[in-house]
Amino acid sequence: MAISLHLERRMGAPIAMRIAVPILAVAGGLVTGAIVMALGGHDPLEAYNDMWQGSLGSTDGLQSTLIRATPLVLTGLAVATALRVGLWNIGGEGQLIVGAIAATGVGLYAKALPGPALLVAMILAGCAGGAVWAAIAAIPRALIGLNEIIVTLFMNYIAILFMDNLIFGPWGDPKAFGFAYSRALPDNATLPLIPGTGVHIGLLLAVLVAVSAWWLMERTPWGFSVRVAGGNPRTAEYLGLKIGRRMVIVLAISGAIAGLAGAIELTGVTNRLQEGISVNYGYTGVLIAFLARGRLLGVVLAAFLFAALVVGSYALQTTGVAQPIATIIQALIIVFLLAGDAALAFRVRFVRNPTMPGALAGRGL
Amino acid sequence: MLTNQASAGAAPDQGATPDSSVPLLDAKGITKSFGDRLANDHVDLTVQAGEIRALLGENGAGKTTLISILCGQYRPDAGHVAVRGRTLTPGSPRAALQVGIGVVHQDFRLVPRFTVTENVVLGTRAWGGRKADEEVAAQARAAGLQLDPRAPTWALSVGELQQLAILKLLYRGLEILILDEPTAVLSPPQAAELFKTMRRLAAGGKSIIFITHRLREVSEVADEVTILREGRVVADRAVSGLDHHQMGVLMVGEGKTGSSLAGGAGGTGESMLTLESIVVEGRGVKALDGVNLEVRRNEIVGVAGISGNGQTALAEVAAAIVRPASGRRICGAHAVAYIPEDRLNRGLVGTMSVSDNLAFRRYGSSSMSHPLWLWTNRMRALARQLITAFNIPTKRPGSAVAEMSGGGLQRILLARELSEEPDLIVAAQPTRGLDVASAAMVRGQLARHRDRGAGVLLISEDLDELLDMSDRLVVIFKGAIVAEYANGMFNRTEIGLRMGGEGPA
Repeated sequence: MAISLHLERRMGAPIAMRIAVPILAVAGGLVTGAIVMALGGHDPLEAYNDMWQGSLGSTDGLQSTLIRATPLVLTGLAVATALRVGLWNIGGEGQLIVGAIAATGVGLYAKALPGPALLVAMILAGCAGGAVWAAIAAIPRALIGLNEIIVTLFMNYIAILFMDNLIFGPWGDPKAFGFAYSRALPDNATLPLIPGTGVHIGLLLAVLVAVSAWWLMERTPWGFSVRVAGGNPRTAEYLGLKIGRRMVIVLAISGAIAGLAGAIELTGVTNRLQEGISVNYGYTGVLIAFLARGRLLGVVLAAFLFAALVVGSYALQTTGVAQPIATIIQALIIVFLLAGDAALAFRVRFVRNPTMPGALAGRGL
Repeated sequence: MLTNQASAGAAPDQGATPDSSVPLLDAKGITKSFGDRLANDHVDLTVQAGEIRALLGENGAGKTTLISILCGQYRPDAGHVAVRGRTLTPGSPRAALQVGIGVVHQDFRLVPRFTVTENVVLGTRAWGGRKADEEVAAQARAAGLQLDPRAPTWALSVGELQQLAILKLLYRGLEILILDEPTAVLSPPQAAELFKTMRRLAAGGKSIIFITHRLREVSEVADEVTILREGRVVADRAVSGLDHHQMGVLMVGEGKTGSSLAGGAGGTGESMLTLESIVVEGRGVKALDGVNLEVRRNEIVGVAGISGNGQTALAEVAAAIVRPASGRRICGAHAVAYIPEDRLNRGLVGTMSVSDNLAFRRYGSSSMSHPLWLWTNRMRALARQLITAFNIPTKRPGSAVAEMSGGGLQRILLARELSEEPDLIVAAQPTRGLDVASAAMVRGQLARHRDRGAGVLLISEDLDELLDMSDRLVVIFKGAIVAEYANGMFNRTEIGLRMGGEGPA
């Protein structure tokens, strides 16, 4: 008599479970993070209190969180948008950087543009830069099926080296000798603040993009056809839809959104092109889109959570908990999410076997 | 241990010379049902050493289920398999391999990136390398197979892949080789080569179970034949003295020749679809080889044939999804409906909702959308209407399609494709895998649209369905139309023979 464990594929988990999984994953990440802190000899409650105060519980903290969330909303949207046509855009990092490069170029060489026109031109250049960078990966994917995950990923390194080349070379600031900065941008290349706050209007742009992306993909006939192509290319073929064209357009839109994040960081936060203009925003966007289950509006929430974790961790110095706890918690959330997905896909059953074929034991094949 | 056998060469220890009263393989009373369908009903099968036994039957006769049980993939509900008089552990692929049963699957199941040797030794304890290369080369020579052990598998032709799959079984010293429709993917000279190999192996003492539905092949290569029909053995005897006509009758059964759902008037109207000398390239052989076919208003043209004879290519050319390599497709229809064979993978999107899937043909129309806005509420209203009209088994238009049964999927497809009054309907295996109620509903819908004025191309493996519904019936064999019958001239036996590749009696 033996009991064995069977995994059965489940056809469609109940909706309540699908909603519960990301929430439980976040809770699991926080609880396990607390255990990690306690094992390190720290008081997790005190640490979480500090993080709360530093990120959401105070005006300054909340403003920092919102500023930090802005690029994450956009990179998360970039990934979630590309998923609509069935592609994984892992190149948000590079598209963000190329967007920042393009915006810097406009800022440095089109200084003559008056007032807000310069800002608008920089932001459009940022979008265009990101779109081109992503399209470079999309075209071979559409034509010969070259894996877009690999190409978008590798294009990140090209973008970083290209930026380094510019800020150490032609665009470098002679006054910032030894630092990796470009020359400063003109004053009218700075994003205005939302009145009455210390948060730049990039946040509003990001939310606007989130709503627009949702509208385009979920509420227009073209977006519908994109979802058909992404959901099942063979069915799209059956319906006579041009899949490759949709891949290129959607990945270019995705890249434009990431490029916009670069232009916003440049004009809202750093004011110069510099190393570290992206703190892994592109890669974090992949995790955010994953946590949001690919839902465009869910990305806003998930980005806000990840921003709060990081900003909160800056307030931890006093308790002695190391700041990377934020990254650890983010990673734990993703691990719990993966476990949750397995729970959604399979049902575990215990099956009693009346006989176990003893002859099989120990026979290798 | 298998690896020991393998390195010792081809002749494993069989014990004393087998007593001829105990067959090498003896399956008794094998019964297996899936849901309420009885796939195998008390099937007996015996194979002697050195014998080539053909397993003959139509699609759905239970051949695949039977071999899945022999090789341990399925556990029978009743009955047992014995090899050399010893009962096999049911449902254990490992036990089946240990007593020497191996299968060459239709898709071969090889690793394209591996070399020939690596694929041969995969699953044993040996690795690739020069020594293994030499062993594999020797084994191949002994069996008369022309294979370079160091060749990469992806570079092999279909015939060579098959030789490799056979060699893999020989290397393990297996004694009972099951070949699952090995000729389906081969050209005639390749098939002749395969038959030579089979005879050589049998002469060397191996037993071969050869699955086919081509009558000529049975008499060409097999010693004995077991014929299955609807899960039951209808014949178990020597091939000699059995002619093709008898085999065909046994395989498909004797039955009606008339058509009860046929419209009668059929075939007088204008042409909805004309195919002229259509050629489609396939894997190794031509999928379609010069097909001429016409479908007119008010008629159902049935296409009979055993699966794998070009039906999929025919459907996709007719529905204008695949462009033929040569030949002309002339379509007189304004709206074409296509009910594909592979419903979920070609026709639906599993991750989208029932209401989305029902709107695939209409979401761009002005009733459903404006270029900047999709009326999802109108899509849902349409969905609710179609769910009622076609009895789609779901309460919520928002539920995902992937969660539905085969019958449910087919109803969604029909609802979408047929609710727009098409002039031409291409239906590929439209009732396969459906419950009785769904199948009846599908047939009723096709007949209704035919009466309304549509032309219907009905491709089916279910001969009874074709005989029931067709106004005209053609037989497809190896990518060509080999016979055509007008309504009232249907002869089940003759059609069965033609499906098996036989000429007129």
